[in-house]
Amino acid sequence: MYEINKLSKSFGSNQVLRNINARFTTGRIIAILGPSGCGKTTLLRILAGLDTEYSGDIKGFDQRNSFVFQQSRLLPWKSVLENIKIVLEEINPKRVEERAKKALEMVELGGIENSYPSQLSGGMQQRVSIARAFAYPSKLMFLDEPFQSLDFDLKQRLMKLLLPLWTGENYTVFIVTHDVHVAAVLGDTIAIMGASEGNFIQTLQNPVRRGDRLRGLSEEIITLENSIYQLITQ
Amino acid sequence: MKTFITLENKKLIEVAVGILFLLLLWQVISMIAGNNVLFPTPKATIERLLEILKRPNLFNIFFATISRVAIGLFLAFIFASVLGAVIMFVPFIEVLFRPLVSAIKAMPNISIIVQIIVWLGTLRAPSAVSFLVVFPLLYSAVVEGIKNVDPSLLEMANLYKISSKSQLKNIYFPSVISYLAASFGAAVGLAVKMVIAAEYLSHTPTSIGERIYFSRIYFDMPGVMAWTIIAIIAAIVLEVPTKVLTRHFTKWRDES
Repeated sequence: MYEINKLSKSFGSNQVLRNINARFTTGRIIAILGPSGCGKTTLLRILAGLDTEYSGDIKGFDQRNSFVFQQSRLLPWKSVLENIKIVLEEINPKRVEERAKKALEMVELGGIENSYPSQLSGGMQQRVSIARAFAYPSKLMFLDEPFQSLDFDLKQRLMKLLLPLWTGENYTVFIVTHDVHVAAVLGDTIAIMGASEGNFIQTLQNPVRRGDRLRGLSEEIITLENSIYQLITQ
Repeated sequence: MKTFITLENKKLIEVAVGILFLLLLWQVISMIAGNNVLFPTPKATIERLLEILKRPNLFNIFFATISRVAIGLFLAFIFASVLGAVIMFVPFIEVLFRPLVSAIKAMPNISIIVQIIVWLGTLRAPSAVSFLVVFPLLYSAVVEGIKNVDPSLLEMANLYKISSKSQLKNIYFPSVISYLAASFGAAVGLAVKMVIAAEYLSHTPTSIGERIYFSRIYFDMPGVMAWTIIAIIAAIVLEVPTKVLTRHFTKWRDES
């Protein structure tokens, strides 16, 4: 169980997060949705331990976690494989190479181990970043707008990759997005933040099973997306 | 014609044209001067150079000067790197060293050479001069490299619990090397000039600087020019390993 109790955060006189209270079950995918500037990235960074200046309390998050940033944050002077291996210091050295290669195959990038990030497209770099997150030994993953600047086809392909991987490995996932479709497809729980409330204005449960969400646009997904749109635009 | 001029050929042709132009300019100026003592012709210089190349002790002289430059460069690199590593953990050290480094940078080179000759004597002065003039250049590059390490990469490293040792090796070091690579070329050229100047002023035995000195006092200007060409070759020889090393550490840039 993950708990957020009375979480607040200000940047100077600007209060970004106001008294957030929430509970999330282990093994769920929580999509945090909201307009730009509503504080969703700030919330994510606090939960991931990247920002420790806040008031309130968070429980269950004090563990190893992976993070997929908006930019891939790969070391430009290291090959793709080395970028993944570098986060596996605590793994048995004999298994590091195997684990790193497996992670690359998971995101369908087997064969480019020796390429440098500058030789890859933006989408491929982001996939390497996702592979790194999966290679790292943790069951808690954070993603901050991971599909920003990717085209629709690539986005769909990545979501098709991620859902079964998260399910198979029983990850708890917090994904921040402003994309309603991404939230509706990936999120088991969709937590919507208001533009200025600094808090969740509504939390929806996805009625569609994970396995069925990417089989074309079902009526239920469309209905869910419409509900989300209405809540955001209220 | 087009197929003959490949990219590599084009570079060679450009170098050859540049050298020919230089020789032509040189010839014109020496003809205007009309005096081999004042300004020797390319022919006189090349003849003198060929005589020097036959000398049995040329290799010792050449190697000795290069060694003095290399020792100074190496020590400057080590000191700059160690100090840079300390600054990463104790940033205040950079503040302490700032006035000293600025003073060395601003000091006239001749002041540095004269002082060092007095303190260290003719044999050790050239290497010390090489160290002292190059150290501020490399140190500044190291400090800039450290200051400009991408904070987003450090944040990623901290999130993934990458050890300090690994961060130093895999993030700080490559970042610093990029800055050092840019400075090293200039550092080599500067070090060669300053070492030979120190050798000249202190008459360091078995040195290119000493040979230039004796050529000058005997009004052997073709000799001065010939030894100058040898000094330029020394700088090129030293640049080769530094270029190889920096290319090794920055090969990821060439792959893009």
